[in-house]
Amino acid sequence: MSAAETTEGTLGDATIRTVRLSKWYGKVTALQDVSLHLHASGPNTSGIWGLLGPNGSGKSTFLGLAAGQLRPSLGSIRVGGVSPFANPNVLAHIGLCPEADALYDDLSGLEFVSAMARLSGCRRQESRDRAAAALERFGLKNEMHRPIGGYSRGMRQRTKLAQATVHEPRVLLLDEPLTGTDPKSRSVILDQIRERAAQGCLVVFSTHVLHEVEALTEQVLLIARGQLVAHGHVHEIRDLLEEHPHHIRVVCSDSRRLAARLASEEQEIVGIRFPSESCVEFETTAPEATYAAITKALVQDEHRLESITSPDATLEALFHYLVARGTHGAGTGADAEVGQHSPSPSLR
Amino acid sequence: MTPSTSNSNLDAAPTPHSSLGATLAVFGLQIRRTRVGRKPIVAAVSVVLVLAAAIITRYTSEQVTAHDAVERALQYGVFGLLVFILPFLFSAGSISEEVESRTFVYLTARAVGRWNVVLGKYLAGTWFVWLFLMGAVALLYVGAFASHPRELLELGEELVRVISALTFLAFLYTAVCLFWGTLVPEAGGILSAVYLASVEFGGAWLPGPLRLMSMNYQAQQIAGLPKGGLLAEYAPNVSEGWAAAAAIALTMIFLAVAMVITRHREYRWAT
Repeated sequence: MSAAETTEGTLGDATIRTVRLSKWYGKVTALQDVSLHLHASGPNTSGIWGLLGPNGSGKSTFLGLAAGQLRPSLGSIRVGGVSPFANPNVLAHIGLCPEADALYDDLSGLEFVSAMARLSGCRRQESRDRAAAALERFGLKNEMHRPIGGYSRGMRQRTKLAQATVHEPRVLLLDEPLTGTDPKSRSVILDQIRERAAQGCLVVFSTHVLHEVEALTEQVLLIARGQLVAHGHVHEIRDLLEEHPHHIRVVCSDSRRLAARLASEEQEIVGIRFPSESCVEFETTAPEATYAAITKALVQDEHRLESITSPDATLEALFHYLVARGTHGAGTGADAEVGQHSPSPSLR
Repeated sequence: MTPSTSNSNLDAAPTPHSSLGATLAVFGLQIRRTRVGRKPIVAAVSVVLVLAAAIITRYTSEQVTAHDAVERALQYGVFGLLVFILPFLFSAGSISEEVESRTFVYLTARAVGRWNVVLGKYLAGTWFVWLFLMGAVALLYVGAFASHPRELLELGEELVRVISALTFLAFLYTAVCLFWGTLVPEAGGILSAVYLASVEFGGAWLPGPLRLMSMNYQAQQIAGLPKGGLLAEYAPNVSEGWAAAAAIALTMIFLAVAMVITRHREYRWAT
C-alpha cells in the first residue's frame, strides 16, 4: 500500500504505532506516555501480542484507542499509519472483540454476524455466507440459528470473536477474549487466534492472566497504572513470578471432590481454600501443570464448570514491583520499538 | 516493516460501502432489531386503545357524528398522544440504549461513518413511527365511517392534510428523540419526554401567539383541526407552507446536531 493511500486515510501495513500516547478521563489517568510499535508476523515475531496487566491498568483504554473508539488526550496512535478514531477506511481493516458481555440478544448468531459483515461492506448473500463460515470456524454451526440470548457465556464469547473476524481484518484487537470461557471454547478461540496470526494478521489481546498469554504467544507487553512497564518474552515474566505461588480459582458443581483429587495427585499445589461452597482456590508453584490437571479432572469426573479464573494476586505484586522501578523499565519512552525487540531481555 | 502475508487471505476483506450503502446497512439492521423486539407490540397496543376509544364514542352516542368522532380522536388521540408516544418508543433509545447496554461499539467499530449510523437509525425509527401513524389514521377513518362509507370517499383533501401533518411530525419528533439520546445517552428518554411534553404538547395550549413555538400546533393547523386551549381566538393562523418549512428546518437541525455529536463523541467504552 502506498504512502499516498495512507495519507488519504486507508490502512497501510498491519501495524500499530503510538508515540507518547496518553489518555485521561477527567482527573484519572488511564494511559500515560506509551510509545510502541507492533506489527504482524515477521522473522522474529509471531504477530500475536499479549497485553498483560491487572484490572484497571489501562489495557482496555489502549485497545479502545487502537479500535478508534477513543481519542488520545496527548500523543498519537496510528493503525497502518492512519489515525483510527471514527475513520471507516481504517476500521474496515480492524476487528474488535470488546470485553463487555453485550450482544444483540434478540437476533440469532447468524443474523448478528451477518449484520456485522454487511456493515463491513459485504453484500447480502456474501455477508450470510461469511457469517455462517465464521460461526462454523468458532464451533457454532449447530447453534447459529438460535437467538443469542440463549447462548452460554462461552458461546457468546465465540460469537463476539466470529463478528470480529468475519470481514478478514488485518488488525485484530481482543479485549479479554478468554474471560469466562469453558475449556472447549478456550481451545477453539486459541486455535482461531493462532490461525489469524499465521495468515499475517496483527493480533493484540488483553488479559490479566499470565497463563493465557503463555498459551498464545511469547510476546508480552506489561501494562500497569496506565504505563507500559515492560515488554519482552513471557518466560522472563515467568522467571520473575517463580518466587511467588500462583492462585487458580475454580467454580464448579463439586468443588470439594475436585480439591480432594488434585490434593492427592498434584504435588505442586501448596494450598487449598474454599471461598464459598461451590468455589475452590488452589495455590500452586506450577500453574501450567495445575491448569492441565484441573482441566483433566473436570472432564474425567464430569463436573459442571462455571468458571476458572486467577485472582492473580502475585501478578499484581509483580506489577507493583515493576511500576516501582518506574521509568527504568524497558518499553517506556518515545524511542521504544517494541515491534523489533531482540531476543535479549527487555525486562530489567 | 512488512507483514508476512504469503499464505494470507487478508485481501479477502470487503470494500466498505458507499455512504448510501452504509446508511442502508444500518437501516436494515435497525429495522430487523426493532421488528423482533417488543416495541411494535407496545405501539400496536397504544394505537388500538386510541382507536377503541374513538370508535366506542362514535357508536355509543347518537349525538356524535362520524366527523366529530374523527376530529376528536385526531386532536386528542393522534396529535395529542400517539404522535408523541411513537417517536419516543422507536427513536429515543435507538442510540442511547445501545450505548448503555454497550452494544453501540459494534456499529462504531465498523467501516461505516458514524453519521451513517445516526441516519440509518433515524430513517428506521421514522419508518416505524410513520407506519403506525398511518395505520392508526386509516383504521380511524374506516372505523368511524363504516356506517356511511360514501362520506369517506369525499374526504380526500382532508385526509391528505392529516397525512401531511402527521408525516412532518413523524420526521421531526423522531429527530428530536434521537438528538436527546445522542446528547445524553443515560437520560435520553426522560429528556425527550420532557422536551416533547413541555415544548410541543404544552406549547400547543399556550395563550395566543406563544403557541407558535409548538410544531404540534402548526401541524394541527395543516391538518385543519380546530384551535383549543387558552385564548384560542388570539392564536395566529399558520400557513401550510410556513409550517412545513419550519418543520423541515427543525428536523434538519436536530438531525445534523445529533450527527455531529455522534461523530465526535467518545461513547462509553471500558467496563
